[in-house]
Formats: sequence, C-alpha cells, structure tokens
Amino acid sequence: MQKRKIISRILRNKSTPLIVILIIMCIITMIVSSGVLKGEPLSAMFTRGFLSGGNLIGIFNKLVIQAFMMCGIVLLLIGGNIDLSVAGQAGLTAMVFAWLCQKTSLHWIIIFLICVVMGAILGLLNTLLVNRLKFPSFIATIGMSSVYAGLCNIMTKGDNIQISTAKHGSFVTMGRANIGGWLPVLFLVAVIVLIAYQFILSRTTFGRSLYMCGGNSTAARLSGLKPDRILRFLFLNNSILAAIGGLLWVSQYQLASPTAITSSGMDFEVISASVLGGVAFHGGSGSIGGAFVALMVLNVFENMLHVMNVQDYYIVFATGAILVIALGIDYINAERRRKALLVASISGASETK
Amino acid sequence: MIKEAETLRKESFYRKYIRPIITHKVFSLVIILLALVVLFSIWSAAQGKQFFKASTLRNILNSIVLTSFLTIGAGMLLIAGDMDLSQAAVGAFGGIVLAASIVYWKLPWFVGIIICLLLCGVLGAINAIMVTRYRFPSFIATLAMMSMAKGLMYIFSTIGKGSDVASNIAVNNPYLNFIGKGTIGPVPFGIIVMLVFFLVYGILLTKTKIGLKIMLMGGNKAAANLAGINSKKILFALFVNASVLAGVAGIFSTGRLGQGSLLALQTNQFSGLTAAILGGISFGGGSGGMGGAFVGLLILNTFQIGMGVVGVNPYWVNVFSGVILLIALATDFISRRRLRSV
Repeated sequence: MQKRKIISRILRNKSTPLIVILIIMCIITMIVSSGVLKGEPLSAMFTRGFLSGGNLIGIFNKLVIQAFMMCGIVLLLIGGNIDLSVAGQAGLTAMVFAWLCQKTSLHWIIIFLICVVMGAILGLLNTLLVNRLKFPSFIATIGMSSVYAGLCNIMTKGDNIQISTAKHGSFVTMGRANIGGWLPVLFLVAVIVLIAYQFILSRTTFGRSLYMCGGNSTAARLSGLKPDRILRFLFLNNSILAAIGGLLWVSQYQLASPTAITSSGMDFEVISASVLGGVAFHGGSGSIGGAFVALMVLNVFENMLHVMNVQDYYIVFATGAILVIALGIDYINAERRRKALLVASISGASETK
Repeated sequence: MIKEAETLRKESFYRKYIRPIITHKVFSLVIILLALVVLFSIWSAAQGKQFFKASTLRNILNSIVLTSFLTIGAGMLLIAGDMDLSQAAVGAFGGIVLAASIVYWKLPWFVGIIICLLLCGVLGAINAIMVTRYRFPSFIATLAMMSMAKGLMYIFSTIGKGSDVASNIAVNNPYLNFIGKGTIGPVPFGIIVMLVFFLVYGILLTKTKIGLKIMLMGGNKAAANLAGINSKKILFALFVNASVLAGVAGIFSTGRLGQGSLLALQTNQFSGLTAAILGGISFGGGSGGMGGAFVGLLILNTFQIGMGVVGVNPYWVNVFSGVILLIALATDFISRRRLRSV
C-alpha cells in the first residue's frame, strides 16, 4: 500500500513528464552523437559527442548563471512579480567587476563583495520603482534593462574586458575547477544554492507566506503579512543572485562582455523554464525543483541539436516548438486532473444521496 | 451680480473645455514632447546645428512608420489585457516571405504581399489558439512563437534558392520601392499609410461597438463575459490583427531596405510595446487610445533623432530610452495620485 502511494505520488508529480523527457533526450543524444550507429565501438558513447568532457562542461557552465538567476526569479514570480532586468544587472556587475580588476590592485574577493553590494543597490532601485512608485514591474524592469544594456556598452565602447590570469589566478581557477574533467565545481555550488532556496520555499514560514502574497496579496495583508516588505526582500535577493551569477560567469570565461550576457536571452529562457516547470506566471504556485528540471530540458535540447549538427535555423525553430509541446503536455495533464476531480466530486455527491 | 455670473461663466468654460484637456493623459505626453523639442532645439543651436526644421520632422515621422504598425497591434492587445512578444519576429518573417516570393518564386508583387499577410495571419492564429483555446500564458506562448517565427524566417529564405544557406534577399521591384521610399507630393507614402491606420484604429476603438467591447474586456474580463461578450473571439481577432500588422511592418521594411533582411525589425522587439505603454495604454488593459500611442511613438523617436542631431554617442540612446520610459511611468503615477486625492 505504502509503495503504491509513493509510485502514484511520483506519477502525479508535475515535473515527472519533464524528467522522463530529459532522460530520453539524454540517451538519444548520447547514442546518436557518439557515432555508435556508424560503427564506432560502444565505449565511444561515454567519450565522444554529448557525454564528452568539453560538451558537458559547456552545458553545466551555462546552467550555473541561469541557476542563480532562476532562484531569484522563481521567488519573484511566486510572489506575483517579475524582473526582466536580471540579465542587464548580471551583465553590468560583471563589467564593473572586470573593470575594477583591471584598474585597481585590490584583491578580487574585495571587488567581488563590492559588486555584490552594487547588485543590492540595483535591487533597491527596482523596489523603489515597483514598491514605492507602484510602476508595473514588467514594464519598469524592461526600461531598466535597456538602461543597463546601454551602460554596459558605454563603459568600454563595446569592447570586452579580459581578466588577467597573472593578477587574479585564484579567481580564474575557481571558474575552471572541475571534478573528473566534466563536472565544474561552480555547478555544485549552484545546485547547493538551488536546494537551499527550495528548502526555504517549502519548509519555512517565510517561504509559505510568499505563496500567499502571490496568490492574494490583500488576503495576505489582512492576515498580518507585510507584502511590501516581502517584495522588497525578493527584489534585493533577486538582484544579489543575478550579480553573483554574472560574476561567476566572468570567472568561467575569464572575460566580461557588454553583450554576451545582456543580449543572450538568458533571462527569457529562465522565465520560460520557470513557467514550464509549473511556476504560475501570476504568482501563488510553483517550485524551484520543477523549474530547474525544465531549464535542464531546454538546455539539453538545444545542445542535443548542436551535437547532432542540425542547422542553426532549425534549432531556433525547434526551441520555440519544444516550448509549445511542453505547454501542451502541461495542458493535457491539467485537463486530465480536472476531469478526475470532476468525476470524483460527482460520484461523491451521488453517494451522499 | 454680473461679476459673479461672469466668474461662473469663466469657471464653466474652464470646466468644459480646458480642464478635460489638461487632465487628459495625452496632454502630459504632449508637454513632454514639446519639452524634448525645445531641449534639442537649444542643444543643437548651441552646437551651431539646426534641429527645428521640416526635414527633421519628416525624419522623425519616417522613423516611426515601421514601429507604428507594431504599436497599433500591441496597443489593441494591451487594451484587451493581453500581449504579444512575437510581433517583431513575425514581421521580419513576413518581410522575408515577400522578398522570397518575388525573387525566388517569381510571383507578381501583389501576390507576394497577399501571401506574406496570410502567413503572418496564420502565425497570429496559432498564437491566438494557444492563448485562447489552450490557455497558455501569453508571455510564454508568444515567446515560443518568436523563436519559431525566427526559425521559419531562416527556412523560408532558402526555399527555392538552390542552396540552404540563409541570407538576405535583395529585391528590386518598382512597386515595392514605391511602398518603401515613394512619396505622394512631398509626403512619403509610408507616413500617409501610418496616419490612415492610426485614424482607422482610433475610430474603431472609440466609436464602434467592438472598440467598446475591447475596452470592457481589458477592464474586467469576468464582467465582460457575463455581459455576453465573446471575449475569446475578440482576443482571437486581436492576435491575428497584431500579427497581420506586423506583416505590414515587414512589407514596409522590405520596401525600404530594398531587401528581405534577416535582421529586419530586430531593434523594434520591445519598442512597439514600449510606445503603446508610454502612450497611456496601461499594462493591465482597459484604458488608453491610439492618439496616446502615436504621441508616445513620437516622443521615443524625437528623442532618438534628436540625440543623433546633437551627436551623442549612440550607446547613450539605449540608456535614455529606458529613462524616458520610466519618466512616462512616473507621469502616469503622478496623474493617478492626483486622481486619487480628488
């Protein structure tokens, strides 16, 4: 009985179909990209193509900054708001960090802390706009993202800034460090952060009060919560995480680029992954775990097409198509659940008669 | 006694004619616009250049033509309480389809335009089905469509070409050249079309039943449904409308550049949406009009052209267009607070 309960719980979990898709995709990519079908030995599956060290590090590296952004954005979305300027904030802090590294002789840890504080200030700016002035967060943060993107370009007139390996060796090693040649250490850090935030969301009073704020902020206020204060915290948290994500990006690639982060569409990918992973766009429900699984699905899917040598423009089309398919699966699931509930309530009503 | 009557008359004159103008949302926008014009006139005069002249005005109007079609579509959707992020990509797709149909498929120009608008309409219908029938959140659904339209654009630029490398398609068709660069008298053709579109949609929104329904839907969807408005049907039409208008923007872009460009409208990703919101169309829906959207567009582009005239580093334009958006939001905030205190 107990066993059946667990199985049915797993089956009913919202992210189960996504995990299944992820596993199937990984296996297909592994087999096709390694060339086993063309007569390579079976062992090539683990050394070539998808599972080769370089490819895996590429995937995980991209996931690190996105995971940091995601923790902030999922919390904001659950709280009923959105921030479209995360990529801008990450890009700007990264540029400022690299600039300070180049111009000053401070230790990089001090500069790192300065940049995190700067991220916090940018977050305060967002709360000022959304909380105090009551601007709609969607459009206010689009405005801010344009400001940040412009500032990034102005700083160097569009050039990249390199981080010198001689001066900040330990910072560069941090980004390059990996376990077994395929698992970057920073990815482990990101996973720990994700788990910590999931814990806060699902197991603490604060986390639960977020859901209430997002679901119905009037009710939340009437029941003694302070939605304004919570919102301020969420924006702060989001900006600090974005800043850290940007700085880690710098340590991975040893340079800061004015356009690589801001115009890569990372933030949109994170937001769509969150929604795919079950975070309600207007607040009140969702979890970080589901969102992260969806993010992995999107990234692995894109990588799968790349290692299979599909032409770029089909990849662009397919990334849109997989979003639609995933939304469709979600819709079918929701319909089935709704019908089951309906049947249950009807049968329940007839029994009481 | 007479004096009192006089003041009363004055008062009622004020109430009847002046106050509605001053408190109207568009009024504050016009003030911002005038302030910008004065600012740039002085700034450029200090540098020995001239900002305030007919050719500048024509440049400004010319530069808003492409965005204006996106703004109208986005604005109508926003008023109904929804949005479409895929417009710019759909427009670029339309431009490529038009160029490909003339150059590669050897079709006459008007057939090309019809195919372009039809295909854009189909993409819009897919958007609409996703949002109305399957209740996908429109943010994500249209984001997905953005990526799909981009992919389709690359794919269509290779159909009938012989090789499968996507590239811009050069078109040299006298009719398309007229659409893009031709003038009627001294006025460019594009500006006339744009003004006609603004007028038609403005009338549609304020003077017809459909317009009223759209407003009601945006204000309160549940109430609109209870009042017997088929909101799904209207939303469907608005999504298709937004995409077809994006297609029109694509046609103009192809005509202007003399080629179906893979990068067409890329800088207009958010400017349609931004201008609509700048023009007082609120994000939640239910308010705003085409006049405001037009002035909003004018502000955005006066700013950009003005910065060009006085020779500011183009990177700053990005920063200031964000700041302008925030200023517009601030004026909205102030007027709302005044409303509350009254």
